[in-house]
Amino acid sequence: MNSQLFYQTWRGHWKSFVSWAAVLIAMNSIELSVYPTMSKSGDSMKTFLDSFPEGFKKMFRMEDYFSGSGFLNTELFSLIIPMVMIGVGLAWGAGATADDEERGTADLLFALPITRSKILWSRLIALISALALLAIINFINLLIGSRFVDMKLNASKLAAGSLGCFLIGMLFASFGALLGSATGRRGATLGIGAGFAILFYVFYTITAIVDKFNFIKPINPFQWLIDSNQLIDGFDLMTDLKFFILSALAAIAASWIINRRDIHSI
Amino acid sequence: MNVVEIRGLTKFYGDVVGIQDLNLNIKAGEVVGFLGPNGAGKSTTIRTLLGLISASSGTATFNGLNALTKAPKIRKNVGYLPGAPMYYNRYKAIDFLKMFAEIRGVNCDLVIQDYAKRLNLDLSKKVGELSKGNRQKVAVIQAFMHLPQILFLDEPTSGLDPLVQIEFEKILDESKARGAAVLLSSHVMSEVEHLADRVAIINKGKLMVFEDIATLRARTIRKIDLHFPSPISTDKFKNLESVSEIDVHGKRITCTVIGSEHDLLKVAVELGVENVKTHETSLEDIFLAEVGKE
Repeated sequence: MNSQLFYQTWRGHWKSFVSWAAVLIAMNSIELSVYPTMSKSGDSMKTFLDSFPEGFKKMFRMEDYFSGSGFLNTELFSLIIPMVMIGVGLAWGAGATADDEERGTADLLFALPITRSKILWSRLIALISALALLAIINFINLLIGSRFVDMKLNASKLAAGSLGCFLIGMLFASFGALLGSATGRRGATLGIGAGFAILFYVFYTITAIVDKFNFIKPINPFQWLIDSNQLIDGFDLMTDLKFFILSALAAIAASWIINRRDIHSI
Repeated sequence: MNVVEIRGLTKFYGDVVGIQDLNLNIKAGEVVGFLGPNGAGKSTTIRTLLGLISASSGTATFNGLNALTKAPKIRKNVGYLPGAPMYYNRYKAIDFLKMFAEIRGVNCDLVIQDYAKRLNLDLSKKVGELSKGNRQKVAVIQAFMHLPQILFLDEPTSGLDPLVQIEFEKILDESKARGAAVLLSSHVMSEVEHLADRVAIINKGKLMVFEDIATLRARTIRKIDLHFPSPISTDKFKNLESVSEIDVHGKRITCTVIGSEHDLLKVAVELGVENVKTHETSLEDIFLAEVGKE
């Protein structure tokens, strides 16, 4: 890794990082502030939720809505936090090398005595550190916040849930880097990546109620993440390993491609 | 000794020729002017030599080492100034230059300060806030700051005012004196004529000419005026192989000559020529003649 490029990546993205961290804290705070009302609503709310169709409850993971972890699982860990992680991962990952090609700085940067893979990996490591920091902020924010609203959260399981969200972000970051390396186009990469993220989520929700698309389940990262249910059940090493291995393979492929491809000039 | 040696370098973009069978060499302490119309293959050549794009065939060496590999060590002693340099605009000029120096693994602080002073550049400003000319100065410093042995310069004086151009030439001379091999691509013929030791003219991806300027001048078309004491016939000139475009204006004959002027002058003396005037061929004339052949 090249420390200059690591620092340069952070320098270029720190404002967006702060914004995403603020979004995460704001969403967490809103959900935490709602929880006391929900938990004290008594039987009326429970009867109301029980009246929901099973498929609907399954789709939004509402089977355990009144426990602290069940509530957060439904409200944050099934969509919002993974989407924030995916957003940050894709935005940074797509630009890992494609930013320079689109901006026209690639000719100067890639003519320096440093391998293209080193440039890519330095940027990816900066990105992974940002995602990890976001996951840590999320963990600390919820751990401390939950104390104020009398929400009983298991720290280890909260860490497992945050790790899962970090890993899905890392997976999309690596695929963003792979697409960006292959095309040299950040905009197209972002569009394709965001399209896939939405599509996978849509398929996750559809397969919760319709069996017809079950063949998508084994290749759907949202399915892996939500089914692993780490906030409730604790660490799921097999799922985490799957995310990690796929991310690593995507990053290795990105590195292989950028090393061999002709660099665009503007 | 050739620092840069290019043999049969070819680059195809699909079916389209970028450069074809290019043979060039640059010696230590030599500036080779690289001329050609837009799209001729100048940038393709430089980008191929820098490993930014892969060659379809051919070889290139820097100090005997394969230059077409993407191994970083080969670029350690190379300075590159792109034709349309783009930067990290949010960086201050000094931070940008230091970042590049650190990626290169060298400390260039003193050289950066020295060049900035000589080129009259305020290093504390953000690159994005600088004028075109000042951004070009950043590009010049970036290319020269690590005192490279090989320099690829694409339109290096674009946007620089005449005083700064003079300072640039001094910096280039210092690099030559240090033994740097320089490939200077430019559209400013007078600049190339002034700075280059040899000239390479490329058109449609093919090298048309690669010679020193004096030799080029000698073998290219020159316009000659001959003044005689009385009007004469052009018959004796018409048979000369090296002479063409003969016009008679009373006692004056104008013609063009390719190669040696010996035969023309011999006939002219026999006919009692009083005055001979050879119009000096500029590099621009040579360039236009070579490119016009295609």
